[in-house]
Amino acid sequence: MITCALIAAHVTTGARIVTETRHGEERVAIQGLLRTSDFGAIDRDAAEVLAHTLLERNADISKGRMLLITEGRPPTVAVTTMGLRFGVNVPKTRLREGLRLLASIVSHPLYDDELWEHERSALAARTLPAWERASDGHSHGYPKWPHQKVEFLAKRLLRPERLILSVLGDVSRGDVDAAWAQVEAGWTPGPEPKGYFDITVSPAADVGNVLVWRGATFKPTDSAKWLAAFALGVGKEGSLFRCVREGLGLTYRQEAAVELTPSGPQLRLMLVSTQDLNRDVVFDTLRRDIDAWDERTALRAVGMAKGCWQYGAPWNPISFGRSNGTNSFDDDAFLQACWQSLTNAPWSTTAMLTSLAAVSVVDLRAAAKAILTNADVRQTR
Amino acid sequence: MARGQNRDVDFKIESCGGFVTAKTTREAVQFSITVPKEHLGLALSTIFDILTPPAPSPERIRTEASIIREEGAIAEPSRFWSDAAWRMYGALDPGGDFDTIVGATREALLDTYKRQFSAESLVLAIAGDLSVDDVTAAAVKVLAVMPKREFKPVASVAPTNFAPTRGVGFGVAYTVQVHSYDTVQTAHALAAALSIGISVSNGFVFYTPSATRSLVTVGTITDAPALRKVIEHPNTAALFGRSKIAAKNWVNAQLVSGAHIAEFRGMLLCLRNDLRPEMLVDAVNAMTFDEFSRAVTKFQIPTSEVTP
Repeated sequence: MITCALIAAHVTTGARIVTETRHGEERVAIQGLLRTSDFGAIDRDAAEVLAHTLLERNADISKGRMLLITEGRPPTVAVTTMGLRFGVNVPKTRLREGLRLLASIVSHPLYDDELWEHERSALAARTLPAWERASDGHSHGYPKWPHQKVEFLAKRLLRPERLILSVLGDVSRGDVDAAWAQVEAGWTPGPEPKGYFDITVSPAADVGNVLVWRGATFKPTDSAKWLAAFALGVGKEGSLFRCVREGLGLTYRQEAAVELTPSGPQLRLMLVSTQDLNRDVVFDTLRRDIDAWDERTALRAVGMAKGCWQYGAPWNPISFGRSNGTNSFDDDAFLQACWQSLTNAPWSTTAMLTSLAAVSVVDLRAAAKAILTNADVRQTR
Repeated sequence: MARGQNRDVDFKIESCGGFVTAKTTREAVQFSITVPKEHLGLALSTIFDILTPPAPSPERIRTEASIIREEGAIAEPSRFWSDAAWRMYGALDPGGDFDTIVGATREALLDTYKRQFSAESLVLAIAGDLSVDDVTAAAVKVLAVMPKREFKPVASVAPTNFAPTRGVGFGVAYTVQVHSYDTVQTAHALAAALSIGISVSNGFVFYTPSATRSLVTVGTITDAPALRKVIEHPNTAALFGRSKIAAKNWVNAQLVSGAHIAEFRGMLLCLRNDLRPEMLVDAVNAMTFDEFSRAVTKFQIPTSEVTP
């Protein structure tokens, strides 16, 4: 039984730390975000190769030892829209070991040309599911770059000053601070290299018929835009589900995602179909639906937000990359790290829901129309 | 059915902070309603609404069939693996055959409803911070109006063999066929798969509990050579060391929230009224090294390739 939640954010000399205390939790989620916002852009392919390499070999700790510390839950590393995500989930009695493990993953990885080539070829041979390819927004080629490119990225990225550390569980801020101070003292990455390698801009994904509206980034506190996401594309009473799936019978999956990016949240509406998608027909159908939105629409959208953020509905639109947030304990912790990066403040579900409930129908309609009208629309066959 | 007679179920539930999901496995259809506890009454009346005989128009059936075809086109890798693996054993994936689905009529749906949807075959599982007595009293009212018909449970079919399959497609995966959820063979195979799965990058395991037979699959979408190495040249002692905690983690993940508890316990009870989640943990805890070793070996011999 969870009895209380406290959130504290503070800065050490290197990493920024967010601690959320949830009494009664048996496990602790430790998530790290290595920010890439100042990179301008990063080569996603190179970053993915790096991410996959990080868990393979380590100077501090073996893979078997990692699984002992986490009691069978493999650590994770992934490239997200906010930067490099990595995390471990440990029993609360192993907080100190968990923090040390997390730091080891990014401070003492062992890699060489052979391992990078192995990971690159494994990723190149992978076939992503259709929805993930479409939501990626670009194809992956994993070309045979010089391996120095990945090493260069590693040296720029794997640094404590880039880290936002989020710790969620039945732990105190003091314990986390003390444990992390010891860990960070052993993380001395050397001077940061300057400059960039060329950025690879990949072509659009080739996934059946894909229709994507990608709106402009908005302020994290823009409640009308958040509520519009729920009204348009979250749940089975969202406009996309009712109009495109039920009405037009075009799709099985169609949904809104709010991608967290270093520039702010960004709404993405996406549908994938084997049938021809007439973007004008879909657009007009959605626009007519928005015109008909009323108080009940706003009520349902707020309810759906509660469902996603409080009661674990599996359609949480918050996205860190390919897939939307899944409402896991680890995702909650990572959201805190991302929100801290975006706003310098902790994420509060209660505050967000309160602000959504205050949005008027007029503002809701306007926000939804602005997203649709001003969005970058992409159609791929 | 999940949208209710007036197709307003989702509006009512989502407006109060809840959500409705529906899924079909090989042996059951499951509707799940999650609501804040003060809306339990709404959830129960919604169950009654959902379980009312369906009356879809031919147009509605055509649209749903079209949507099902779209579902298959963008399925996750696990769906491809499941479909491919089941076909290896001469059986259909629970997703069914599209030619049959597209030919469905209202009469055929009603006939299926009459055969499958009765109080005798219904399990109503409720989990949450609620009084058992109050919930039971409320649930009895719902069950009392359900029609009682003779229900013929799915015949118990013994596995034809315990041969593994190996497939390639979204990475690589290995599958073995197992018996019902409560057998030690199932527990050992799942423990082996979970232990192998956490030992490779992007490993996955899927298994759907059954009262008759099921499949346990372990795979990876990125590092096929690493998985082959673990399976063909296993460090069995290390795998055994991880197996019990991996199995416990898997069961705990099925019980992580009230919704999960209701879904998992409800599903097991629907399959057979003596099945409990803890049976698997008990069987794995009692598993010896030799038994585990034999379970790992069963994944080793590829008999055929599966290309989804």
